[in-house]
Amino acid sequence: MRITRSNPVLAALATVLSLWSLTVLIESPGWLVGTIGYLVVIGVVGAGLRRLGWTGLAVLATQTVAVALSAIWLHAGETTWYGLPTPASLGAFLDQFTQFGQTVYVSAAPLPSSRAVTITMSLIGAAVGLIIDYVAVGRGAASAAGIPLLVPYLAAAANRSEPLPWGFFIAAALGFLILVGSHMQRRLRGWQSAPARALQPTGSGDVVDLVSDGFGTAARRLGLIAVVTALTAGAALPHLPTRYLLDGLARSDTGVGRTRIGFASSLDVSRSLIGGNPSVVLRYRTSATSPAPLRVVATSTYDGTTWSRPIPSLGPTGRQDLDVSVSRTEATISVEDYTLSPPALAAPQPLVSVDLGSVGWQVDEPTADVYVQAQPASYSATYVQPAWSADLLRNGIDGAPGPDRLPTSRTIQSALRLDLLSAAAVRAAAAEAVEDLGDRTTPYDRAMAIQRWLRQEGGFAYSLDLDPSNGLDPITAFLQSRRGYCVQFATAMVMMARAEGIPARMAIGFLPGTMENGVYTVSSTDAHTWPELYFPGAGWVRFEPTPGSSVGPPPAWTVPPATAAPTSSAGATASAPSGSSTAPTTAPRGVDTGQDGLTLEVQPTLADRVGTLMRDPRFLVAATLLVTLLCALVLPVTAALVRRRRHDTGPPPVVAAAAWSDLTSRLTDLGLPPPPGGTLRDWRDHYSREGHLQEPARDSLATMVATVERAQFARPGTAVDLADLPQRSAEIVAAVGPTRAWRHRVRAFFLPSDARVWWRRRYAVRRAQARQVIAQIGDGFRRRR
Amino acid sequence: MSQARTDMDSTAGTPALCTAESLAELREVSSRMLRAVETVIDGKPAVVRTVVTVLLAGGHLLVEDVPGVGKTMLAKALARSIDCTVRRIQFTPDLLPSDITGISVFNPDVRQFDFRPGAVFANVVVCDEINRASPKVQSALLECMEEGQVTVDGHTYGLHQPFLVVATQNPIEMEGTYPLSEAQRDRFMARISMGYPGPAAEIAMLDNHGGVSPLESLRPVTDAATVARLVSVVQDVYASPTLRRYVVDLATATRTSPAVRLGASPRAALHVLRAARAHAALEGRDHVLPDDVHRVAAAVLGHRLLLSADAVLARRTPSDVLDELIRATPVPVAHR
Repeated sequence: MRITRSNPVLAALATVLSLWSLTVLIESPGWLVGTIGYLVVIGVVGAGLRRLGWTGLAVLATQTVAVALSAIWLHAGETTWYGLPTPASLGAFLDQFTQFGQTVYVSAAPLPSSRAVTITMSLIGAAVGLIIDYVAVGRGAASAAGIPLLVPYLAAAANRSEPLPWGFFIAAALGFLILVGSHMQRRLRGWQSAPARALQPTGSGDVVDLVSDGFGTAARRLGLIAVVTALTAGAALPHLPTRYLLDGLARSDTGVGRTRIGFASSLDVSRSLIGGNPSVVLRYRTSATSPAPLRVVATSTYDGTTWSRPIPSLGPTGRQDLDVSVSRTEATISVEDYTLSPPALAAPQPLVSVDLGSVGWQVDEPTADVYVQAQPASYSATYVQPAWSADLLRNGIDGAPGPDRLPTSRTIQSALRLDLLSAAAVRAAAAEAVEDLGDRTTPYDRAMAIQRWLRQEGGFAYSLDLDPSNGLDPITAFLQSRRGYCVQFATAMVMMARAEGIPARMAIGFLPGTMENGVYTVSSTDAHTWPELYFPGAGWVRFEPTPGSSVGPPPAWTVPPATAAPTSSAGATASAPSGSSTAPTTAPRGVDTGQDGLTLEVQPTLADRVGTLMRDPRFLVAATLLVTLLCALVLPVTAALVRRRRHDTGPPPVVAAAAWSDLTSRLTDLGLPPPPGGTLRDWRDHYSREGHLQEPARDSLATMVATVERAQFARPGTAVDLADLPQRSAEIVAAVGPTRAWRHRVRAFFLPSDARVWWRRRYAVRRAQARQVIAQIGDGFRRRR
Repeated sequence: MSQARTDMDSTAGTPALCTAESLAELREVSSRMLRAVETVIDGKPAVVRTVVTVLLAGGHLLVEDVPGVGKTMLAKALARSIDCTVRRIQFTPDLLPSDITGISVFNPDVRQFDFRPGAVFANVVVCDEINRASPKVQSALLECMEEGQVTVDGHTYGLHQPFLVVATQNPIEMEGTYPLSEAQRDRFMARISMGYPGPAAEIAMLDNHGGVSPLESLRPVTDAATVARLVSVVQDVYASPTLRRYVVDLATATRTSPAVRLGASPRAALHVLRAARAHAALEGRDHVLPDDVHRVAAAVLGHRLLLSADAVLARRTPSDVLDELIRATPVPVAHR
């Protein structure tokens, strides 16, 4: 049967309208322009090839290649070799995709519109367009194109915390309906009966009119009932709880969950703190005598107004730059009533191990921040309390501090980058802060001077609301107005430390909270930021430039008269992580990697990973689906192999009979059983009638029957052309398929009788062999006895 | 000779008589004959076609129907359309075998017995009311039909080629008749019944037959030699081993069916195949298909099946039973 193709322009239009809803997930809709460009490429290539008589997957493959080539020329032109893609081009795209994936993982919707996001989104749009073009135009199944058209809309609706405006739905539905309507119209006009009906005289046409009127009425009624049912059923269905399909997306600043606490991926330094109801973030017990702040994120990336979370390089291990020679105690913390939405996890740093139960997690390698896949209700963590002392920080591990001792890693480089807008003000402030130091110029002394200047000497005041910035950048504004809260203080200290050549980064998290009966309660008002400065051998060390009683005293090592290092060894023995065998446990492996010091390695065993996976319902569902799919595909694959083998060479009668048997078995699968006792010609007429075969396929069937007859009954030596039998057979099956009910088609695909027969025979053979073997063994026994 | 031809697969080696040219000639001649006969027998193309098929297959025909539907007319029209010798024998109870075969008469001049050929010495022999003659006469005729020769007083005389016996009988009027035995019926390749003509055909007949009989204006369209050659062409139509197997399957099915008391004989199978060859040749094919077998089966096998008492009580006709058997017998290739 000839495929009635949909209009490719309408297919592209429907694609664009459906993709339009995805614009709510991205900050700027520029990617859609790229997609439209790709759609034009797809349409032009498809129209050209189909005019040449190409069909099906060949067109799809060529369109895909065309899209890929245009994407490479557009975005990675410099990597091509005379216009041809090279491995470097693929690598460039893989980089973009990885960046996109990480952006999705860490960002809230809408995604920032970076280059990677734009490229990847336009390619995703192109992929949707390819699928829709293949389904609607290539296969002539406009209604089936609704499923891929629904995907972008659903993705947009599912990954947004707020409801999608109804305009998107109207647009997507309109595009789809126009596509289907135009397709159906084409199909009706394409029917062979249509011209015949039009030519009929009016007198005898009454019956036809009556029939078509009857169909029309029935169709209208059915359509009305369907619309009413859809509306009422849709209104009657209860709302499902919001579930996000993509990690990271849609987790806005306000957050979701019980207490509406989320953690922004970015921190706007210029923004005043908005007062909100304090709500409990988490509760914990700890073995430490003085609890440490709980860090969520550490970041080195500042863009002039905002600290943003860098794209994490996630892995099983996090680095810890603490030299083994530094004495330390370990403490544990067990958290309950945890309400932060994933992927954020609040934990004291430097971490040793985390027990999150069944929740999957990963560690950002440079910062050792933990990213969780789901919100844990409770967890426990073991962390290190290094016994940093002023001496240690001043003189270094081996008594030789200095900028030249800094490792030249990218982490350190980015932790030394000054913000250009505020650089002048920061340098001036830093110079003012350290000017009375004289010759004591160790990094530690300078850091101490900066902290002291911010806390006491500089005349800064703690204030939750900020003065108007008068067009200045936030840091300069803060250094002028000298009013701010922890974000401004910490940012200023980070920048001033960087100006003095000390690597520094911003830490975002929570203060230890308030204790009651041994239980610490951290509420949303305990949110805090502080700077972390890098000292070789000691790693990232917390400082506290923010004045105010709520913040608490500065860390012991930043108080000038160097107090004795904590000698409490209470937590030292409680360090062994004794989680259950299936929980992801981490163990400090103490591998000395030179001056970077201690490396924290998180290496769950294979059994642990499998155990974690097995308890993840998503994994179970996916695995079940996969296994089901594989099982369901066994018979189709067998049938394909059996059929391919059957078309082997041989004497003409055998080959012809095999081709015919192949055709009849497939038609029987499609619910077209052969007539009893009929000859080939009877079967031909039967199939033409019952399968509603139209011209090309009917000719194919007639030719096939004639060929098989000749091969079987004609005088030996008659020339028979057997080569095109399989192709004709496929053509007939393809033509019969669309006229059959879907259950027949599904059955023909998943339960082909060829495959069933083959497996049954295999089973019979194996059973016979097994019986033979058993009989032989039995014989052997008897003989021996 | 033609009836003795066994159905060996001997055609593969010998030079083929059944060429495209000879098939074209056969179609051309047969269509002329069909047209000629149809000017007389109006509105019965299927019957006329069967008659020509049987002629080309080298068999004999039994026309069975009530009086006055044109049985004799059909036989005579066929005979006239061929430029050949025609004899018509009206069978009566007092007919003698020697009237059929011929008799040796003493010739006093040469003091010898001279053979006077009987009525069978013709290309087409029309036997009217065959069931009215005594069984002795019937069997004499049937021996001639079977063997294609006549032996009188120790001398064997060959019959003309082609040799077609068209016998008619009236199945209703049974008084004073000697019904053909099963063995005798088996000798006929096909049995057809004319049936009443349609109203239009009947009106046309009344118009045409009012004056001169259309038989009178019928001119021969071919000659005996051509027909004989075409018969040999038909015998050369190829029947593949699968198809012969199918014919045997069909015959076996009639023998094993519970609805049938007496099934098809091996001769019946032979007749089926020969008729199918003729049918294939009439369609311009040089090989036989199961379709040909199906088309001729009713005419060739219908009069040979004796239904069991149950089937008769269930008012089933032989053609019903035959249709069922054809449907139940797997056709080669189509079923595997």
